[in-house]
Amino acid sequence: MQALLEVEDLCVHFSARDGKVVRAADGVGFHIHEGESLGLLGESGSGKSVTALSLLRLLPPGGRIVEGRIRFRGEDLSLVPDRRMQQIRGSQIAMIFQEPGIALCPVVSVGSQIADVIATHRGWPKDRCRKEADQLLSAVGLPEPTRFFPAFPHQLSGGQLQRVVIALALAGQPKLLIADEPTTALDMKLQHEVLTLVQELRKSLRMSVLWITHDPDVLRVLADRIVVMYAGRVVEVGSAEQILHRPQHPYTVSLLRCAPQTRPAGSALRKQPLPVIDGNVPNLASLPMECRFAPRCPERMDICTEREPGLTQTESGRVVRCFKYGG
Amino acid sequence: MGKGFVVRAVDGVDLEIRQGQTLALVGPSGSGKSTLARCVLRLEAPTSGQIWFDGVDIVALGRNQLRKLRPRMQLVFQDAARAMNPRLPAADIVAEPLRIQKRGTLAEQRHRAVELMERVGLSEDMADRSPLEMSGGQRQRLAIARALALAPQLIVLDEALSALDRIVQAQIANLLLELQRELHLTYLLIAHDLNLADHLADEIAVMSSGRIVARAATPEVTSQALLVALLAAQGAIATSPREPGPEEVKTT
Repeated sequence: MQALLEVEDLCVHFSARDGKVVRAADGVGFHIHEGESLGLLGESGSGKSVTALSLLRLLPPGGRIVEGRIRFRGEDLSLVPDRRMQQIRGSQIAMIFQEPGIALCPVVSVGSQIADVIATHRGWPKDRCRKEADQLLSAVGLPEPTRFFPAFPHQLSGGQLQRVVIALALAGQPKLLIADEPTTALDMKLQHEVLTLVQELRKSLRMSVLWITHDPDVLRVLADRIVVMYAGRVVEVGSAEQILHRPQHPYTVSLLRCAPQTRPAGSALRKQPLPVIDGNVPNLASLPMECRFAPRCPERMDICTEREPGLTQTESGRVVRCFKYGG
Repeated sequence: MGKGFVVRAVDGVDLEIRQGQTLALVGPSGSGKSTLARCVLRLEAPTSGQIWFDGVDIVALGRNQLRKLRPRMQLVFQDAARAMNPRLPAADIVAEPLRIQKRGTLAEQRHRAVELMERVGLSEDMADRSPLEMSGGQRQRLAIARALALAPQLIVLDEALSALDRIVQAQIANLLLELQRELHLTYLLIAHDLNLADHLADEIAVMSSGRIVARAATPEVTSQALLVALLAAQGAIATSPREPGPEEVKTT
């Protein structure tokens, strides 16, 4: 069956001030099926956010899609006219971000903002939109319509705002929800609540989710499959179980291994250095002809500095970009 | 607050941190952690109570005495960039406390700044870069370098690692541990990540609604199950104890 979204060979470049080209995303490819939850795992500079913004053609000035195909339900989003993209945003594909406050108008009640989105996409009369907005607020865990509908953003806590933004995103009944680090700014309890909420909604609405994060623990709860990105490249793809429990790419292994853990009593590992690789991501404006992870890779071989590996299939539905496995 | 409405941001808190140790303060938003930290730093005056720093009650100190005290306690925020003048190059930002306290000549200040930057993992060629041209992790390192400039005894880390990518967070956690051993620093760590708190701290105190609701000396009494049960029972925070990392999973 055809996937809901198929991204192939996506390349996104930015023009730096000095005229150099920043290759923020290079040959990115993945697919999401209907009802599936895909995690896009990577740190700053990995190209994950840029990839997501490309799907909605929301790249900031200076950024452009230079190559690739974004097939969504039969249309190539990299090619459709702006007017068509505007129809798609909100109704087919919706996005939520790390800072919920930014998405909300400060001088309109949150209920009205949700009702507005409903009105825009479904053209119902005002009363019906308001009722639906109440329903949505309830579905995201803000069930007292007299309390929450008329509230202004500044009257709500960070966690409540994030729920409002989720309601806003769902108001157009999108087939795909893109979430870019929406829980990073929240404390652990709220993080857990938001993740659980999205998971439940996803199942009841048969909605696909593209969850972007640098934290593998978030994906433990949510993701069916995971795409790992590093320095603009896809470096590993697999099921959540494969990636989180049996990672293959040395970057993924490092990422999973470096996290601090709660230790048993008397553990000798407390206050000891965490196993972590040194260094930073490479400069995306001047990439040498080698594996992009090679400078930091604990398992670097000679060939890794001579050219870049391709993606190798290691199991059914699983690929890795690493010379350890071929490439 | 007006209209006779009092918010007890911090309510009858008893705390102790031994020199060279780390106390982690965890709890949900609004529990009073940052307020408590600001009191410890005397950025705010507590309504009542005492805060003993190295044998002296700092609540009772006057302005001049406070000024002498300040170099001995420093603060690193979650988003250090907000506390930095973006028009200053990195080395000047690190040297700023030296300049304010009038320590050393300009050349000596610069030298010390570059030395501190290198100690935190920022190479000399970053000395003239603006913080805006640095990554989040590099900015936090810069903030740590600046916090070290006056050789403090206590550093308050207010969610200083919370906004960082995972690998960067681990790097900086390691840096903080190294610095603590080398310089015998005392840390008050405010964190919402229980795993990080447990890894870095000698003792954990859980705050909720202005009070300390649970306390555990991590090496002595903490077992993972106990800590989770303790905190969940308090309803203070939700925890997701990490599953074992890849090397801890048995391979077939």
